Amino acid sequence: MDCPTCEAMVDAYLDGELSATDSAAFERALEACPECRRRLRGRRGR
Amino acid sequence: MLPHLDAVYGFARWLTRDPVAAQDLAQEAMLRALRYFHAFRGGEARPWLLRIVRNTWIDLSGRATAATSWPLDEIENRPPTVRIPSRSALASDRRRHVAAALAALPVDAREVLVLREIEDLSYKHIAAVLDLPIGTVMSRLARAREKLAAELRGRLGRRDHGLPDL
Repeated sequence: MDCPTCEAMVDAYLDGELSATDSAAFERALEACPECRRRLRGRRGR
Repeated sequence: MLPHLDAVYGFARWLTRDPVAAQDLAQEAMLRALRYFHAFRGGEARPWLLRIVRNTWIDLSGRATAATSWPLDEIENRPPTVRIPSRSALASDRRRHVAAALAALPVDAREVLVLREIEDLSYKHIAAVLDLPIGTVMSRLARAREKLAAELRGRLGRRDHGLPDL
């Protein structure tokens, strides 16, 4: 999963719109991407 | 279809940003919906109707004309007459800021935000209304939320430096 894809998925993840498979892939991608982890934290803080 | 009249008018209002144009659009969209009701394949009526509203709007006004930006003062000074999320605990002043900021966004951002945050549609239904792949809905919604946040920060910063960031 490249970063732009991962970035776009942050919102879908928090909106509960990802399938179980996509959620798992997204969580794996997060481990490799500090920027997307920061983004997720920022979104959760809204 | 009648239970969805509010949604039809509300979406028309956000697309046109004009109450009179919204009434015309909603009326024309409902006429089309009645005309094409035989093509409705069952399932959820609201996304189907909202798609008709959007397609009617494109046909009537032309996307390029409709997307012309409005003077911000005109938008800011108009009281919001459309629904914004009832689940939201926003105070009325904040609701006004959010409505004005949303109205000021380009149509690509505005429509996806309205469908998600006001109409509470799933990504799948948004994709159907906007005739887009679901991945495009995802990225467009993420960008639209950032634009809205930036617009709000700009407005609150301009109007009152004492207000905290949203």
